[in-house]
This record gives sequence, structure tokens and C-alpha cells, in this order.
Amino acid sequence: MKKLKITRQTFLKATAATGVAASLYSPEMPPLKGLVEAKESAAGGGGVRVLKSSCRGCHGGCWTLVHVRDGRVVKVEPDPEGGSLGTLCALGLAATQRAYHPDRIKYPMKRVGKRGEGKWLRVSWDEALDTIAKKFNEIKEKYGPEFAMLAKGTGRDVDQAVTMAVFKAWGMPHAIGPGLICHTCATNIAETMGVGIHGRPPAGPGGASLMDANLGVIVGANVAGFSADVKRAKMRKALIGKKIITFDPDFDHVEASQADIWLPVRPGTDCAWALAWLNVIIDEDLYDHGFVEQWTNAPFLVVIEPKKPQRGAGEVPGPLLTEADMKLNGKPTRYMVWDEATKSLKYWDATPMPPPSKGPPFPIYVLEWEAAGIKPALFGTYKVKLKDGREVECKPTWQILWERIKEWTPEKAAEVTWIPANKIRETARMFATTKPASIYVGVALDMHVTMTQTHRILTFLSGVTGNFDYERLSPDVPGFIDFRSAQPRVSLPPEVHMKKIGADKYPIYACSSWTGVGSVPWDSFLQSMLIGRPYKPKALMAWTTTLMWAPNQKDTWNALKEFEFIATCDIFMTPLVEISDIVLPGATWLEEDRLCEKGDGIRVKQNATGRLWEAMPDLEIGFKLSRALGIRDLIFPWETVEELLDYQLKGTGYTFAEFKKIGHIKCPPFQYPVARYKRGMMRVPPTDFTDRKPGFPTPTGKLEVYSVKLKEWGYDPIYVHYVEPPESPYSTPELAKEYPLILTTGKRTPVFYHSEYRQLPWLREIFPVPLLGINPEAATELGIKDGDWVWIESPRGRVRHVAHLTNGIHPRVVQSYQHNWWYPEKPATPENPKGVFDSNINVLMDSEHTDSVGGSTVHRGLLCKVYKAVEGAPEGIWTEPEQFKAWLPKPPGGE
Amino acid sequence: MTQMSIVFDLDMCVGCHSCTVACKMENNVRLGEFWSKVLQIGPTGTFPDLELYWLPVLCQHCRDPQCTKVCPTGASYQREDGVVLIDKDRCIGCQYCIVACSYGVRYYNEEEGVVEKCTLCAHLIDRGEEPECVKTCIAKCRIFGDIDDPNSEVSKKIREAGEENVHTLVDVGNQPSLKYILKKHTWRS
Repeated sequence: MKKLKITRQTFLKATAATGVAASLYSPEMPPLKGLVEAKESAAGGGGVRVLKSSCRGCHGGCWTLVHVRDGRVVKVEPDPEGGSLGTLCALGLAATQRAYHPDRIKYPMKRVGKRGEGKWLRVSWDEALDTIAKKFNEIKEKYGPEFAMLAKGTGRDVDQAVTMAVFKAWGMPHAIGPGLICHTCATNIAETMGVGIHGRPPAGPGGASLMDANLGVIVGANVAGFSADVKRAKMRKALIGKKIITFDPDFDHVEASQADIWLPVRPGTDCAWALAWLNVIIDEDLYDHGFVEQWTNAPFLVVIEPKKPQRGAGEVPGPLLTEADMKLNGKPTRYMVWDEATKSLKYWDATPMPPPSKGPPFPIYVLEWEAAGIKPALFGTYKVKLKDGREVECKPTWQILWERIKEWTPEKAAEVTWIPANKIRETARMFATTKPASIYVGVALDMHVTMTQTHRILTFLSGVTGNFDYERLSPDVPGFIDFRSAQPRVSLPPEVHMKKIGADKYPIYACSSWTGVGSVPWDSFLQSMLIGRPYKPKALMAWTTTLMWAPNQKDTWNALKEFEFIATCDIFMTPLVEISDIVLPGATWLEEDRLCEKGDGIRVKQNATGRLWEAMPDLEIGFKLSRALGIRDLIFPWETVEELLDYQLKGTGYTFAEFKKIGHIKCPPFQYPVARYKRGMMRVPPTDFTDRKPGFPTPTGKLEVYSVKLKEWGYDPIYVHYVEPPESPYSTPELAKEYPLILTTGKRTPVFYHSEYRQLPWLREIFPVPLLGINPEAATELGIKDGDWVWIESPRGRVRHVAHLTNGIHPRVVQSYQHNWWYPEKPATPENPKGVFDSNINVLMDSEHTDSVGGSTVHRGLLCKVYKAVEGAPEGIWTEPEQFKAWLPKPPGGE
Repeated sequence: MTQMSIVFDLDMCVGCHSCTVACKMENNVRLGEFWSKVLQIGPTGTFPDLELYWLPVLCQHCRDPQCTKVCPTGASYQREDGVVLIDKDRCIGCQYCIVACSYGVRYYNEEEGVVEKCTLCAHLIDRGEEPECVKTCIAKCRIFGDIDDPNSEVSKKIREAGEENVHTLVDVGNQPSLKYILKKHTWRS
């Protein structure tokens, strides 16, 4: 046994395939001990080998034991040693049904019929890759790299890094993917404030950990039961032993049904209760004055010269008052405040310092205002004489914020959200007076037109109640290392970024560094493909995505068909694969050698099946495709995948071959250091601010109530205004007469993951059809009974679900269970390949109304009508176990 | 005496169906049949004052099982450790046991002409492992052990919960051995 010392930091450095190393700053971890080599387990019975591996049925990371008999995987079970607290969900357990599925894409193929007609010809890997490379390189040469796009599904572990690395190295500036309505947009917003998104990775200095909090506020999240991820079991555990307040229109999941207070908010209106909470907390003086004065830019004076913003709603109150306004040679980075102690103007110097040559050990910081005896004013109006002799009126940012939200009393918010005013007031007080209190936000808020402001307000709420980097912080519920910090990073020049589609309308998107599954905002994407403005891309590489998450599916499919060339890589013949030109057979996690860094350390993932047909793991495809594209040396300076894995393990002292036997290295739980912003631990790479000054990585060095970035981009810098959903009984009362119900979507079923797994018998038989949750009161009015097939219709189109009557939803709200529904059992047809338009609720979604900063679209809180489908189920779908038998495993050789 | 059993902490169950699938995988259960399944109980009440919990249902491994009594061949039998099993070699497929069982957890396999059901993963517990559904449970709400041993984890769990919070499925004298703990909501079996 080798003696081994590893820290998370050194590991991450080791895994940074190219470019910059990790950005996580953690104290040295104690040395690891107690490693035990995996043995051939007797547990599986005669002739069974038990391999340590890790699941990737979703984002993945749960540690698994894979039982192999005669070269075939016969069983997958959780490894009690780690991962998701030693548990495994249905998606992981059904892995054998996926790997050996008879309908898998087994070989590379090229289309020989019309798009969607289902006619294919088997080709060699070389021919398939060369065809893709030739087409992409031709387009790059003739038009430029921006004329090709990558489409990515939801984030996994390394595949995302691989696919992005390949195409970024090739020069492509943009991708399309669900990050637009899931996480990435919100992360960008958080970065403008200099923080992470509450409770979600990358965790920044967000609020207190849910695990440790005494009060948990859960907003639109079904993590424990119905989501998927390594955090599932941890979330279940986190719900115990504390008060839980849950905002969610839906009661039928554990975060709501086990909450102490369940508040069924009208879909799309969370911004309103958040405003009311802030209103109560300021009005009743429940906020942490020290934090607000010292660590936010709330005291900074704003020159009152209101004008309309270039973009978005609200108004720009005027610029921040700086020393440069006051005197000759004054610095524009010295922000003025009114000192109540001396009744005079003082400044905060936000001038970035040169990065220190050697990092100090991050001492706890002394409150600077306090040390200097300064008491910055948060309220009031002040007359200030400028250097040009003008006298202007100034107000602290906090005063303007208060003026904006003063009207947002719980009573007003109650009218908007349909949550009683007394409940809003009571919960606001609970939140402000319980320490630590944690806000855990699911994906729901990323699908509103108020995505930006709601995330901003919730972040303020965590900060101003003193819950940032709370002292008892332990690993947060997500509890895994963010792989993105370790993925290859290839920088593109700014002028290439400006060519991104949507860059003109959404400056934040133009600036984002294309980490994560950032996406071209969908209104801009459709415009480019359907009208050719500003130009029409020609080729698409879609890597394990169906693009069924996108709003307005009819327009989306028309747009996709405008691509001259589409290549796909997938495991099954999805609707998108059916309209592509070349398809590559992807591999499942049972077939690949990898490393997984989620859960409790570094875990192996190993090829347990051998090669199945000609399916190939993403990493290997990445190697081969980059070679075909002629850019391999830019990103993969290794000859084989195993060499890369050896390199990633370098810090551990093991080779990959050795590591397969060890199985994993447990890392100590990741402990965020206390109060990072007070120690200068936030202004470090990879942020733009690297001087290690205490504070936040923003232009003012503070948590920005007044966002300098938003101001630069032409938005209202104090962006907190409520916007009513674009279709609602209040914003469009006429439309509401025809479409009287409010539709929310995206509720998970526990056995599917987005568009995946509809063809696995064990899973599909549990949820054979898409459900529409509807209150019995509404159903009775509409003559709908439980189990009836119904049409759900919006101005964009209609789809069919089965009515599921439940009291757990407001009588005027209906909810679609499991988005992105398609029917693998249905044939490919050019009009409706694999039933893509039969039941996918995103047919109904609108692509035109977006969050004006982030570009995300509304998938929760539009109008619809529901009526009985006299035609019954969509034609040709399967609902019976007898039918699913056709999908039982057929391993190679048995054909 | 020994009575192997599962105690369910329903206040923890999240309704994720992982146990359902684990059982199918481990026991190669036929499509359409569920030796172990999860029912959603509720939401009951009037919006927004509601209650909801999930109820896993499987063979209750009764102390005084009706299924073994009606079996004409002795194929359905109870082991020393309380586990109720079916000897497929002796089962003639008469399905009397399916009628006799109060819980609808026995299935007739027409291909083999025999009745099947949850075995408490006897093949695993006999070599010291836990039933597969217990191993995989996301919420760790299933606890396996000897309910007659006062020092076992299951017995401790039952004692800690308090008598008023420990429930069984309907008992017509068959004495189901599986126990359900529910504190937060009203038991509605």
C-alpha cells in the first residue's frame, strides 16, 4: 500500500487537463488513511466479480457496485461506503436495462432517407467522424466558426468538459443547451453580484448551508424524492431537525408535504413574496446593520438623475457618486458615503490593488468603517456640491432600494402570489430572526421573466440577515466538487464572443465565459435560424441532447431543420437523432473508464461490460473527433484515454490501473472557511479581481445592491422590480378568458431524467404516461375524471397528458409532470418523429418573453386551457407491461 | 422466537420508487408485477391544509399467515425465522393464497404456473446481507432485523417511536409482522 497524501486542492490541480487550475481555496486537508483494496467479493455468489464504479444516470456521482457474471453485468447496487450516503435510485438500478437495450444505437450511421423518415445506413467510425470534421472545417473556412453550433444536454461530469473543450478549441463561440432555463443563467446573475447562487454549486459565499441551518427555506425544489443527483439522500437528511418553509405550487413531494409551513405560491410570482420579505425586514429593522454598511454598497451615494434604462424595465436613478465628481484628480473608484458621525462625506476606496506576490494567510478582517469611526448613512437625502459647482441631490443606494420596495407590503404581495399576507409576514420574521437560516432554491426561479431580480433579492436576503458564510458552515447539500473548475479551459478572443448570437440583446451572455451549458437565448436562436438575423448558422453537433427542453417546440423544430448539417451522438434514436445526418453511438456509464469527483471523494468508474457493439464513451469520441478536426494537440496531449486518466490521478500517486482496484479515495468533507469575504478569499482567480482585498469580486468590492455591471450594460442597476408573468389573469385578462388555467411544468417523476428513460421497462411501467396534476374542483367543472386523456392547449399549440386529480394544487393551477416527453415506441415520421409533439409540454411554451438580463424563458406560470381528449391517447403509444417486454435486455451475441 | 421483519419510517419515505426497482432487479420480477411497491396516501384534506405520505406495500410476512393455511400442497410455508416463502416445486398454481392474502401482494406467474411474491430477499439475508430494497433506500427509511429480539435495531426503532405511532396494515388475525412508523401525519391505511 502506498502512503498517500492528497488534498482536494492538489487533486483538482491534477485534474485540470489543460489551462488554469482550480479556483477553490480550501485549508489543507488531513492525510487520507484507511484505504482498503477492493477484493473480489463473495457477496455476489458463484462466479460473480464485483467492480467498484459510479453511476451517471443523471448528473451522477452515486457510488455503485457492479456485479459481473461471464462478462455480463447482472446487477447494480449502491456501495454503502459512499456517494449518496450509500444509496442508489431507480435510474442507477435500471442501468442494465439501458446498456443492453435492444433499441440502442449500435453503430455509426448516416441518414439515407428524408429527415425524420427513419432510413439509415451503417458506416464506419472513420467515415462518420471524417464526414463531421470535413463539414465543420469547410464551414469554418468559408463562413467562420460561429456558423457552427454545439448542442448539449444537461451537465454530467467529464463529457461536458470534453465536448466543450473540443469545440472551443476549434473556435466555436456558442452553444445551445438547457442552461438557459436551468442554473447557468442564474449563476451569471450571481456572478454580477460577486456571489454564488444560494445552495447550488458553484456555491460561492451563498447563504448558510441547509444541512446546518435551523431554518430551511425551500423554493421550488423537489430534490429528495423526485430529483436526481448525488445530493438526493443528503437533501432528505437535511430536511430533518429544523423548521422548513417551502414555497411551491405543488404539495405532492416531500419538501412540501413535510414542511412546517407550505406556501403554495402562484407560479411565476416568487419575486413578489421575496420583495415583501425584504420589505418586512427593512421596515421592522430586522437586518444586520453591520453587514449592510460594511459589506454591501448600500451606503454608496447615488446622484439622483433618473432616466429610462436602455434595456429592461425600471429606471436608472443616476450614477454612483465618486471622488472624481467632487474634486480635480479625484478617483472614480472612490465611492462616496455620508458619515453620520461627522456629518460629512467619506469615501470607500475600491481601487483594485496589484495582486500580492505571495498570498497572505487570509486573516479575519477588521470592520473598516468601525475602525475609522465612520457611521455610513443608509437613509436620507443629501445635497452635494460637485467640482463643476453644480449642487445635486444624492441618496444612499439603500434609501432608493427602500423607496422601490416600500409599496411591497405583505398585503400587496398576497394579492399577487395568492399567499395570505399574515403568512408572508410571519415567515419573513422567522427567516430574519432564526440563525442560521438557509435559502435553498431549485430550478423553478430560472424559468421566470423575473429570474434576475428574484435571485438578486434572495441573495440580499441571505446577506442582510447575516447568513453569508455562516460560522457553522459545513458541506452544503450539493456536497460535491464542481468539476467545471477542473475542466479544460480554452479562452476565445473577445471579438469572437461578440459574434455570439444574442450578444447584442443580452450583454451578460456575450461576456459569459461559456462555462457550463450556457445557451444562446432562445428568442435570438429562433430569430437567427428562421429569419437569418444576424446570420444563420449552418451546422449543429448535438451531443446527448434532445433539445426538447426548449420553448415553443414547433418553432424550435422548424429552426433545427434549417441547419444544413446535423450530427448527433446518443444512446437511443431520439426525435433529434431522427432528423440528423450522422449519428454516433454513445456509451452508457457501465461501458466507460473514467474518474468521478462527486460525493465523498474521487471514485472510479470502470468499463464493466466490455465494448457493446460499436458504442464508444464520450472521452474516446472526444479524442477521435478532435483528431479528425485537426485540433487534437490543442486539447489532448495524450495518446490514449488511460494516459489522460493517469495524468488526472497524478496527485494521488496511483495509476488508473491501480486505482481501479482501490475504487476510491475519500476526501474529507469540503469545509468552506468561515466568512471568506471578510478574509479576502473572494477576490481571487478566476474572478476578474485578484487583489485578495476583503470584500466581493465586484467593481465596488461589495455585494452590489447597485450593480455596476448592470449599469454598464444599460440596465437599471437596482434591479428589483416585480414583473407579472407575460400571460396571466392580470397581465392578459382577455387571453385568460380563453385560457383560464395557470400552467406550471417541470415537476419531476422519480424514475425519469428530463427526456431520458422512457424506453426502460422497469421505469416506464411505473410511470407509463405523462400526467397533468389538476385539482378535483377544476376537473369536475371541466367534466374530467382521474385517468382521462386530456388536451392542454396554449396559443402555441396543444399536447395530451393523462389527468391526475390531486388536492395538492390550487384549483386554478395545473401542473405537467415530467417535461420533454416523447415516445420511443413510435416510429420516425417526418411530421412527428417519435411522437415529439404528442405530449412534450414545451410545445406550449412561449419563446418571445424572456428575462431581460439573462434571456431565460417562462416555463412556469403561463396560461392554458384543459379539456377532455375524446380521441384518447396519442396513436401508437405503449402503456401496458406486455408491450414493454419488447424492450427487455438483449446483449450483443444474443441477437 | 425469531421474526425477521422490516420497519418503515414513513416520516422519512420520499416516494422515489427506488425500492420498487431494486426488488425487480434483484428478484427478476416480471413486468407488470410488483413484489414491492409504493402507494401515495393523499394529499388528504382541503387545499391548502393537506397531509401526504408514501406507503410501501409488500408481503407482510405475517406471524399467523392465511396464505400458508389455505395452500393445499404446503408450497406456501413459514420459515423458523418468520419469513413466509413459496416452494415453487410444490406450488400447483391454484391461487387460493392470492385470494386469502389481504394485501394483494401475491402474483400468479402463468408462464411457470406458480405464485410468486416478496421473499424478504431470503437468498441475501441467509448470507448476512440485507434485502435489496433496504440496501438501496434513498431515505434510509427501511430497517431490517429481528423484531422479536429486543436489542435489534428494528425493536429499538419501534420503542423510540412510541406505541401510538407504530402501525400495521389491516390485521384480521394474521398478525402482519411489518411495522410502519408515522408521527407527522394521520395514519390512513
